[in-house]
Amino acid sequence: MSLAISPRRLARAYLLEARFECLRMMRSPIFTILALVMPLLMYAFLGVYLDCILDKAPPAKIATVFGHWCVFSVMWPGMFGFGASVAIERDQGLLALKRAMPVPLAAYLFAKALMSVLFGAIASILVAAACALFTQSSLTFGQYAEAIAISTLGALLFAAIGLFVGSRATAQHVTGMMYLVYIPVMLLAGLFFPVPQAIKLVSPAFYLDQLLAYRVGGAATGSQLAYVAILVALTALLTALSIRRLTKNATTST
Amino acid sequence: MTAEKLVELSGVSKRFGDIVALDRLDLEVLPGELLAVLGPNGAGKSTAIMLMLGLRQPDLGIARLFGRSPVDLEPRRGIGVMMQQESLPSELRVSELIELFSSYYQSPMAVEEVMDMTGTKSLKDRAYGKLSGGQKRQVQFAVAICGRPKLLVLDEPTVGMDIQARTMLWATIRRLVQDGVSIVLTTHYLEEAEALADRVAVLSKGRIIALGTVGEVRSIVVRMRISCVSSLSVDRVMSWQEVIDVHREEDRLYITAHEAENVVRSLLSADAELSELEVHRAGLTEAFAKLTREVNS
Repeated sequence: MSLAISPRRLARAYLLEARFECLRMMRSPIFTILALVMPLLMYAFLGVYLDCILDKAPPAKIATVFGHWCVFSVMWPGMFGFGASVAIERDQGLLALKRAMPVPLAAYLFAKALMSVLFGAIASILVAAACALFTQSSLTFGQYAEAIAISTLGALLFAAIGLFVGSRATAQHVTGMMYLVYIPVMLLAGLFFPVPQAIKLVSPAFYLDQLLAYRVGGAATGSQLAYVAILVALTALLTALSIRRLTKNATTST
Repeated sequence: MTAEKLVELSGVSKRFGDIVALDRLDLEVLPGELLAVLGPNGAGKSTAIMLMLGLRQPDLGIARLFGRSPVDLEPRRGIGVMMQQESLPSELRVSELIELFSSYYQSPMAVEEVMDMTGTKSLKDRAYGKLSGGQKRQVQFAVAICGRPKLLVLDEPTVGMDIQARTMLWATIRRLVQDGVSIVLTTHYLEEAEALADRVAVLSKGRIIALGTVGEVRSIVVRMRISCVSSLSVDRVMSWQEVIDVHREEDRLYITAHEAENVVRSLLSADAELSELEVHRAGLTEAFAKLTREVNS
């Protein structure tokens, strides 16, 4: 008995899964505010007003601060939008239902990754728009576009971190556990205050921040290629470990 | 020629720590049949379902779905599932959920057709999170059948449904079976199994303690229940040969007997004033209670 599905139908399943994942997150006002409005407001006040306008920051500092906030803007959608939702859906039985029904695990993860990238892109575009409108930035349109593209792709790193936590935590504990990772990753990268270089190396966000700093003319050291390699390797490793975990155990109950 | 087995659990055992959830269980589902899996809480029903669906792996034995490992994606394209604990995305509308789940299959039903069959048309544009518990179960059923599955796994499908929704679901289940769909149903409502099932498997402590048609399992308890308004004393009725048990509630006698005819004749000849006579055959409920009591003792 053949139960095969045509490539066209399979592609449609991937697309619909992604479309409805994005749609449902857009319909969640709390998530939208935290993912899109909060980074913009925080950047406008802390980044633009305090760091750039009050400090009369030179273009290099404006670029560095812009890079920091681009990183910050893509952290939430990946870690909380992707990771926390996996833990919640696992506890609520949705993941088990999808595993029992013929939903490819890859389609499920692809949809969530696309949602993280989409929200990350919108958040970083908003930050870029604020930078262009309200600071004395000397960044070109190409540099803004490059920064948005890099930070958007960087959302995949945070999605992988979120998935790693979400595939292990219960719905009850996932928010707390995610914060335990989110806050150190954010603070140790030196996004908001000076941190010794040796400590920065611990945070994955640091490598994305450095990559962005290179592209927008901010303060950067080290090899861009090495940063890209670290980001890709870390994303791949965490995703592989999480998929292994989810494949073994789609449910949390016995 | 033997019929192709849609599901086959062959000698499967599963432990969770010290708890034996399934103990060398053999169970199969044949084409076009509705198999009801019954058992008290902790009997192993949900674990058996998880093994059938590839959500858990057996410690011993083999689980097969359409002759293949249920972990593979392809055999799962022939099934629809309604689980006991499932929550669909609350922000999506009912029609969107059906459209999404339909996309996983090669030849699904049209969304409108699914909603017609499951009585969910009036909920079409409502967000899933805003529905009542019973309405959510209806939508979960719609999602389970939308892909024209050859096998439908329904875990406690009518919990929380009102009578109208339950009646509609029963009618749809009967129609699906008539169309050749095989169904595995777990339920705590024994009348549901009695009304729908071709075969019944009773599980207790991870093993099958009875397997057969509803009639065969019911015949494990060959008893009749007779009740009537009568002034006859309990002791006198108890002395009759066929009578197993008698008790009185106000002016009504409740009699359990091996067979009804002789007892009814005796009642009518002994009490000319007797009224409101009712005779019932013992149902699946009594059989289930007897079987699980015996295993526990």
